Amino acid sequence: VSDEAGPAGPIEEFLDRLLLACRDGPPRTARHLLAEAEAHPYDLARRSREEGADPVEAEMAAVARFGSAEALARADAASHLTPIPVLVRPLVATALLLGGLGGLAMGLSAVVTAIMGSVAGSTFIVNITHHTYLAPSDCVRWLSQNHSTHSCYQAALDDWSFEVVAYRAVLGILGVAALVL
Amino acid sequence: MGIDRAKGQLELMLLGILRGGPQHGYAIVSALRERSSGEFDLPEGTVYPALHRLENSGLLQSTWEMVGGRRRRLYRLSPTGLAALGEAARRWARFSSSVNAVLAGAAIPVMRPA
Repeated sequence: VSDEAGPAGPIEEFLDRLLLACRDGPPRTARHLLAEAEAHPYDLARRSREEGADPVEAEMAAVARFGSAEALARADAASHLTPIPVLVRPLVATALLLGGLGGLAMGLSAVVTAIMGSVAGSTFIVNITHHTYLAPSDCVRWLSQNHSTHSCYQAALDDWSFEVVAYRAVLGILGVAALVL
Repeated sequence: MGIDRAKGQLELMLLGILRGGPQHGYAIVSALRERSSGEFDLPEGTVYPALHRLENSGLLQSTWEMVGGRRRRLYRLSPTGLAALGEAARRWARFSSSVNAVLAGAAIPVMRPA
């Protein structure tokens, strides 16, 4: 140890600068980086001295390999940041799970609604009466799509009940897709 | 040129070096240099943040030990890192063999004096 450049040597100065550069970061990260950045340049300097280098020049060369203390501290701080994909991934997974379960529930309700509709009629699905106002233009459209009836009321019932079941079924399919993902 | 290219594949090479067993930073940098016959003599200021990034990602694990009166951090591959190394090495092999195949079939440009 006696052949090191001493307390005022380049490695000690480098470590002082590194300590100051790390002062805003987490203490443990700073301590670990300082410990690594102390052992390694002293190893390099010892190797150079064994090859005949002057102690001060050996330490200067060792410090030079680390670059500036400030740049090292910045690069190391960046290496401890959690990548954005790592943060986003669990959020997306949770959203898919919740959305998938919700969609699946809607899909199951589509099955139940379709069964009950076939048993109890469309009025079980859609709550309209003969007194509900149905616009003439809508009646024309519904009747043009439904040739099994001449009643606007029945055509409206069929159209709306079909939409209720179809939309829920689509949500169910999307829910299953989200759960599979 | 070699160092710039090496930085793009640094994490893969670090994982590859640690496949041989746990090592501390000094030995890892030395192995990079020696295995590449001096081509990849990367500065320590580049290697340590990469090691810490790999550890933060769960691909490496580290422990501390006292050697020669100083604390040294010993890095080793985690099971996840070992799997990631296998996959990354396969991708690199495919990529490099594809480049080689293209180069092997390419016409070599002839430099003519102006």
